Amino acid sequence: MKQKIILLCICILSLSYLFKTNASAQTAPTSNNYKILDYGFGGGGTASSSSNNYSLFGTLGQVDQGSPSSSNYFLGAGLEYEIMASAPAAPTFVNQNNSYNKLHLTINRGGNDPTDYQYAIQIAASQSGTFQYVQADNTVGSNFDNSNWQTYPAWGGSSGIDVIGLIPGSIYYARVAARQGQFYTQSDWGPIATASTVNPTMSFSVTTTSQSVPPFTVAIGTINPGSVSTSSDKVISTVSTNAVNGAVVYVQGTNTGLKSTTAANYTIPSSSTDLAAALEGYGARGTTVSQSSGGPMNLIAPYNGSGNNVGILDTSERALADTSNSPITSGQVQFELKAKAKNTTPEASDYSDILTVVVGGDF
Amino acid sequence: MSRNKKLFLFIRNSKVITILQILALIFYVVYPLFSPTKANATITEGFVRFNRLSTGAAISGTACLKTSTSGTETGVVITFPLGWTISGTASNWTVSTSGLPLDPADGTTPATAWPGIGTATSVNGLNVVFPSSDLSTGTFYCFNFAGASSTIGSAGNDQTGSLKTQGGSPYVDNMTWATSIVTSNADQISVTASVSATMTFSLSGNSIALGTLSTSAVTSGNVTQTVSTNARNGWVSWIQGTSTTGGTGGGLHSSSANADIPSPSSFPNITDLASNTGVVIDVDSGTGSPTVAAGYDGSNSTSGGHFDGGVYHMTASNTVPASGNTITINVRAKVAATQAAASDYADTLVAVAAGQF
Repeated sequence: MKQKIILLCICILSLSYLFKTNASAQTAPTSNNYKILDYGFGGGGTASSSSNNYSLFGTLGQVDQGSPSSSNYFLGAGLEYEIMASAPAAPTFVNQNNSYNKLHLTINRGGNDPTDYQYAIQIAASQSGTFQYVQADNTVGSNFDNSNWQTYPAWGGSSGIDVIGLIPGSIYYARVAARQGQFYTQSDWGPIATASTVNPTMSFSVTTTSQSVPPFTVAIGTINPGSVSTSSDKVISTVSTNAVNGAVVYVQGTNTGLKSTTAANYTIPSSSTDLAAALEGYGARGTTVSQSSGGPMNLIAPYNGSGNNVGILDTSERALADTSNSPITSGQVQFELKAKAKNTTPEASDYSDILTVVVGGDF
Repeated sequence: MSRNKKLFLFIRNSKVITILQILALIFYVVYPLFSPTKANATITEGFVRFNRLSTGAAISGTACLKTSTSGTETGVVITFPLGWTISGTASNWTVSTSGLPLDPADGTTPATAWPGIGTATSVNGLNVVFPSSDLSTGTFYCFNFAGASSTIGSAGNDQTGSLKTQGGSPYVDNMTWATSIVTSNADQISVTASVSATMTFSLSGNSIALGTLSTSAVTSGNVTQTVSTNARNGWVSWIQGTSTTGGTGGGLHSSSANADIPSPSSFPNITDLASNTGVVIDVDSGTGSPTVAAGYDGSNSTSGGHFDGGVYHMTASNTVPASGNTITINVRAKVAATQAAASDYADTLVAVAAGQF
């Protein structure tokens, strides 16, 4: 007797587990239009057994055995299978933008899927081989509860969603399940779709309009005091990256301006200024930006001035241009160098500076 | 098999089943407490930017992260690309939090110094581990790093590394980044320029009329000399007379009286005409404070120095480039009672300057 009581408790708890996993509400099968007053089971439990935590339902005319199937279909038996949602087709799962940390997924629901269908998405990376779940915030995690079940519109509808936070350079497998109704009876997981993330990419180069290989030298030429001199050569920086937040091109000088050793290290100071009005100065001015795709490339103030407005070139890394917080292909920025001397700027032929141009991808 | 034996087996199996189900139940209850709710955290943005992208250059740069993951960070790990030379000595990896970049997301928000950052605590291959305190979500944190005895690897695109924060399972955040390395010094541009030499010189006038000279008072007149030059060592100016018929080689000469008012003494001695007669030159410093030569640096309004006909003597100088440096050239005279009367005492002074380039 004791054994039977234990077994009964275990059965109840197990059923509780089952319905807690697959259902969120359990009430008797009734509505404004109908009510099932009485129906029986063979040797099974009680038709209306229920508590706050579970309900038991049964049906007639089903046999809980035999599951005809082929490679294309599966026909289950029993009430659960009868009210089970249709398994969705394989989702459309692609890497839209050469991304390294996200893939685009669109649920392909069946044409007759009711609007109250809810879907959950399983995803596995090649490395782990273990399916996890797409969370409501489109990240991937192990958590799987009601929050993972969302309607078709909530999963982006026909536009789909970006599944984010993925591992670069990985093959991902995704499949979708559906559920509907009072018991939210979950379908089987549908067919698998595959997509791959790429690795982060970054290419970068520096040239000038007349030099394609280093060492690069840009001559401002002779500066006549009181006049602004401009380099004839322009510095060209080219960048391509799939960094999701784009990239920034930085420029940094070695001195705080143009320095002459023969003039006792006199330095024509650099500042962000209009050289037409300044007595003396040195700086860079972005002239053109372009790209093959993405971006667009964008000059950052103060390097985006016109005329003789220049941006400072000192020992700090200064943001010269960016890719508008977006991936870019063959993004290019050109800038020229300008200088002006005043009447007392010491004469010398060795004014110089060394610029370092680098790029940082914002991944 | 007897009925009793079957019952025994059933009971025994039931016990096994019961135990298994109890274990399953315990697992069901307990597992969620240990189950991670989020395996792959997301990063709003992050980067590792190097100060040089040239192969062989010393490794230094800036690491930044803005996390959206709630976790308690205890360390940060930078993993450098394959083939880079990474010092295995943790103390070689130093950090700073000055001059941090702006958040590229908006281009205006200054970075927050990475809390708890310090000299690396360990190095394992390409992985350098720095200490860290807990990061708040949505804050753009950065720190600068430099690795002594560590150099960038070969040139090439798409060289990947990672920036990870410790304190999770196994990390709170794990960001992969890529950089591009160029050939030696192909990330630098040498900028050159020359500043041309300039020099301007002028006098405020070309005549000084002393009028009728006195035997008791000193008469003076002057012109202003202006010099501008960017000669890096400044400038020097000189003066000379034209008449050489004075008693000591310079002075004012009258053709009609065939007489001279001499410039007394000799250069670089100063003569005070308050107690002497003759004609002298005195120089006063003006704009730019040029240095007056001792030979013409009279101490009062009656003294001055000797000038010669045909021989330049330095009047003033400056050691730095000048913009509108001025000196006042005073000519002072007093005659003796025996000085021949004439109205045409005169001389032509020549003032010149040169830049010291």
